[in-house]
Amino acid sequence: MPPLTLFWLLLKATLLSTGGTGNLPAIQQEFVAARGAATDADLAEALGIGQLAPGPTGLWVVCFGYFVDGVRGALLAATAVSLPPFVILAVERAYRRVHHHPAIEGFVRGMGLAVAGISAVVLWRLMSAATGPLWLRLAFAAVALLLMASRRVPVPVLILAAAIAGALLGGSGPAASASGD
Amino acid sequence: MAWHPDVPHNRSMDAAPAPVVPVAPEPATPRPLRLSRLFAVWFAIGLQSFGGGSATGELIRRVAVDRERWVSEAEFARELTLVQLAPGMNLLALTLLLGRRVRGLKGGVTALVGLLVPSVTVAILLAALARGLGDNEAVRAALSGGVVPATVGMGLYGTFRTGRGLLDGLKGVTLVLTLLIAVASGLLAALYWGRLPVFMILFGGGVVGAVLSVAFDPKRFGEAGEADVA
Repeated sequence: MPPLTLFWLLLKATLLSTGGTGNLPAIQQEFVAARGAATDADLAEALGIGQLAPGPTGLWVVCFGYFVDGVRGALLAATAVSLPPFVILAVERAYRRVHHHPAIEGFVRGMGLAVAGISAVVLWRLMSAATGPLWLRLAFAAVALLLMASRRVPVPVLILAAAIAGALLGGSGPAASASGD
Repeated sequence: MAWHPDVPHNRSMDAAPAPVVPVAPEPATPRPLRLSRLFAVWFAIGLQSFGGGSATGELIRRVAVDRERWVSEAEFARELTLVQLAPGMNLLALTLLLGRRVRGLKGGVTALVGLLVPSVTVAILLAALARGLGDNEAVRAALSGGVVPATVGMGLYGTFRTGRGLLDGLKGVTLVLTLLIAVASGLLAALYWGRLPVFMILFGGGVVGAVLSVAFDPKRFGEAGEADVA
């Protein structure tokens, strides 16, 4: 993929969404579904590894950029996700006049809920990128969800625990053993 | 950018640095800080804030409110809400605003770069490590058999919390109709993935949200309207 295309697609996805993972649906669609420049596995691994890095969660896109185009892709991705937040400078100026207008509040809320609905679907699709028996994958996902809900386990600890559990248990999965040949 | 003339102000509006509309009382003026020191403070945040967005947000709060006193607790909360309206990572927008308080736009950019340099470097190293060891069967299994499904579970939980936060304060019919935005968007994505551009679903969700919010605005209905809806 040409570097400029990578930069533009990530910039566009981030400009049209809020939060660190709001751009996930658009990135899946542009890179995986439409262009085949990355796989669902790349996406899911970037999301997971990104959680291990310090700083905002949204930097998972940097890992994704690395998977698509090496260090150049990672740096382009870092630039692409750093620019949209500058819009806050304009938002802050306009804020005092419109902040309590119901249409503005409603628009932001509606867009956020659309992101939530789509993200649930996209995340579910990422499950197909996982290896191992289905019941084990579902169990991993469920345990991770519950541990997150308990709010007692720090995210990096959870990711590392999942990696260890995957190495110990997931190795017997079909895809993992096939790659050993 | 025409200010409302409710409050008297001087003629050179562009040069007026203070907000014309009075907002929450400002804390003590931020201590003047060299750009290099500002960079160092944010570099330290970027290096230490393991644990995702909430950990980073807490660390920023501790530094900006408790230690450096750039903002009051209330101002910090207001800016934290405000940054939800900007595209992309909220914490980067927050970093820009906090840095700008100290040293203007230059300070905002310095803070942002300071935060990003260590975080991005570590992210690249981790990605390279994962790829470099990618041929190792145990690493493959750890990633695709463990990290990927756990990420899905964690992501679903995060999505649930975001959605719940957005629905906060809504009741009755409004709550159900607004919740349907998420359900409809998910269905559209599931049925027409790859054929329907994502931003069209997002924009549609925004428009429906705006219409619902105006139609069910409690202020317009007054107390009688609220009783009707509930």
